[in-house]
Amino acid sequence: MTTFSPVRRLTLIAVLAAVGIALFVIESHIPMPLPFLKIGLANISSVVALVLIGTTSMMSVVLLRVVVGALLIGTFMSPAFLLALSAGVVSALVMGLVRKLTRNLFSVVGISLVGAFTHSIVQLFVVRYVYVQTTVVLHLLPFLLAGALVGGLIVGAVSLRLVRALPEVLR
Amino acid sequence: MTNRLTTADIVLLVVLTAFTIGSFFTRDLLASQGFTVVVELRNVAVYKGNLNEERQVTVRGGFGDVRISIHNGCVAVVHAECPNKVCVRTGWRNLAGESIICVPNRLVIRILGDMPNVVRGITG
Repeated sequence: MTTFSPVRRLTLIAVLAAVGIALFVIESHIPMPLPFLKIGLANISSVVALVLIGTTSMMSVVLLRVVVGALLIGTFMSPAFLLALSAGVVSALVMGLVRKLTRNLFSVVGISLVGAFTHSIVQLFVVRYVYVQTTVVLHLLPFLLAGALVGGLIVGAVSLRLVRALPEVLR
Repeated sequence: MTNRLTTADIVLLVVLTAFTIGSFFTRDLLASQGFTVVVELRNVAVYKGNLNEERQVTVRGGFGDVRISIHNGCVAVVHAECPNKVCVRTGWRNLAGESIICVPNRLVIRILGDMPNVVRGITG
């Protein structure tokens, strides 16, 4: 992680949040065969934020993206929003924690996979315990995990390229 | 540096892939045993009872009598005269949330868990 001046950090948070919001809105228009299944393109902005500006700033990016994204697609305060918020915050924390604890053991691909899996699992358990008090939704778990695997890899691959290219551009 | 794929990434990928494939075989661990069985004919509940009671239920559908058996905590349609017999081939079911459906007879057998459905459906 490079050290940035407060203004640079703030600008980066804003830019990454904007990118995340744009990806989130675009992705909301892509039809998916199952509810809760997503590629998670917006997570590219979180992963890049984590590597460039650290966990705390990444949390700002995630919160901004979830709130503004939901306002834009009209799901603010709906179950979908609360799911995105809880899963987004928890997966961001886990990604930050994994990065902190393992230092440079994983590249952004590993971090992104961890984030994608956490996101799917948290989401499903919120649905299971908060919304529908039945275990039926847990039948979706295998499909969501398969989605997380594919989505996490896509997000990881894109983030890897960005993380390689960005620091020079930002300097 | 973290801008190169590491061995740990590959190991993690393999572990998560195994975990994902494994999760396809854990249906019974995740779901819970049903509690109540409800038989609905043309959207009207005609029978409701405990899944653990031994019982034979016969209902009159659009295609003659349908014999439903509740046995050993499982439920199945044992005899039906509908054309495709999808309901019979569904076999014995016991998990909360599962259902046996016979479209020609307009028959739905639902297995409910011990907790009520607060919200019927959510899509995200």
